[in-house]
Amino acid sequence: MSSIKASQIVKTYGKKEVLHGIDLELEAGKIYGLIGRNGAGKTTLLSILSAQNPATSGTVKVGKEPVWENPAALEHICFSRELNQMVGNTANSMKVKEYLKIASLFLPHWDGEMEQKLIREFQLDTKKRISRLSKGMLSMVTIVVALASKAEFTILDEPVAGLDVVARETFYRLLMEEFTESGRTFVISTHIIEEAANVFEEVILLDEGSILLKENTEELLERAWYVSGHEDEVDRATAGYTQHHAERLGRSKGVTILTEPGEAFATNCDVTVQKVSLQKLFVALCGEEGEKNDGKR
Amino acid sequence: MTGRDEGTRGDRNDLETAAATTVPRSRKLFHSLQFWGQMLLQMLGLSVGIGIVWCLLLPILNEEISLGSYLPDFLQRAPGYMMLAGGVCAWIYPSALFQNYYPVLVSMNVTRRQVVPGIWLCNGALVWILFGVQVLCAHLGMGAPESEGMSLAFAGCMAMAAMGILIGMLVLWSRVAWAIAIGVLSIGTGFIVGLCCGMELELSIFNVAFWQGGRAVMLSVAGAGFYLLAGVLAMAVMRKIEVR
Repeated sequence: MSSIKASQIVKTYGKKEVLHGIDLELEAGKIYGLIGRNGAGKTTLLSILSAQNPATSGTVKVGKEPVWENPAALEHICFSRELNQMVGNTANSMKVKEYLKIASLFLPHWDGEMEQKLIREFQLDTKKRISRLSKGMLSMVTIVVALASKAEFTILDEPVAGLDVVARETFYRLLMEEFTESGRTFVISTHIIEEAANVFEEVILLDEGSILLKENTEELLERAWYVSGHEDEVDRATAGYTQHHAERLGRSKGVTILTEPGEAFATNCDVTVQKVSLQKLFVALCGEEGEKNDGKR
Repeated sequence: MTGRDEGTRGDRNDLETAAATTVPRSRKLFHSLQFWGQMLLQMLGLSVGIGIVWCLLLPILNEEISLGSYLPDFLQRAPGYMMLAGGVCAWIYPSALFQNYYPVLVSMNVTRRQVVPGIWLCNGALVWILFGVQVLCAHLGMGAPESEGMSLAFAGCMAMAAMGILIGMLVLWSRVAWAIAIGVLSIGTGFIVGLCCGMELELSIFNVAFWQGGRAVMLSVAGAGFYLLAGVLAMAVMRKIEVR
């Protein structure tokens, strides 16, 4: 079974380096969540993985085949990027049905039945021009392309942007149905972390152009803890651990820590210990506030 | 929301088989032909339509043409006007093709090595087909300009098509450069034509007789060569262009 392997991916725009030597392997048959702050480099990374854009250096391969300008490798990948209402300075006059027609012609494993099913599910008006679609409908079109492509590796860049909560639930349901039926690999970038956390088998956290962590979601959350109480007690309880995103209120303090894999967190100190959600962990690791690396091991 | 733990992964054999099966080249080619063929038909339709409209309207302004000779005059002029309209379309269309379809096709896993030749071939085919129509009409006794005239028209349209490719490429490479190129071409062409008319210049190159004796054919070849060069340049520039 093939995988996508990215080796030492560097991307620079002028003098600014936006991706710093990224090594990443995406195995088949998983749902990956790619999360990161605005400007972290998520879309850039995804576009390089899918050969939409070139890396400054480094390679991306599907199995042993490099993806760049390689139709044989690209057959296995679908990158459904965000659609824009504008093309340059002019309105995108392409109709939805024309866009989907192009997808059906050029995406080799296209499933027309699934396309029609999704159009009905989302109640998409395919005669509308892309420039006339709302943000939510633009997302729906990208979801249709992604799911109907039946590509072995399907990459979705912020697929739920602009979707209302009912539509988001529909997307997650359809995604899980498709994943259960086909076992395709999905890579989904999103800012709505809490909702999507349940579907991510592995989470990739991208921060300022580097991968902060790539780990099984359950295992990651099992070693993430929020410790709160009096600041002296909290400091005593978390001695030896890196404190992330310390929150203070008077003499009370709350910090997020990560234990080693397989290590439970136990303390005799007078503190409250809680499990951490993926969203809170993301804020703790990537947020601007708080103090990193207090009390290093 | 269903969790990832629910359900099974399903039978992977079908996926592996599907993923491992490379789509036959003939099917890929058929789909490419379907797409570009449709584009070409749109461009042809537009060129023919515009040519016919010009052909219908312009004689109205020509007092020498009587009602009785309107239809024969129309049939004589139509192929030439369609050719001219084709040249204008081949100049304008690539900008739209590069701007609207290039990013979409690249996002659908069509490589840059496939998209750029597709646009180039489609645009060039427009001129060739209309030239072929003109030649056919000449054989049928319709719109029979001198062969030098047809060669000049072909050369001019190929040059316009080449400019279209270069300008279209600029749309994605640099919008500022694109705007400047359009401005310079439009203003420059208008200035030169206006200057020649205003000064009543009678340059020999504006005389069809000048082009007899093979000169027109050479110009046609030069026009085709210019188009080929434009394609090569477009391939080189678009090789690593970013799509957003």
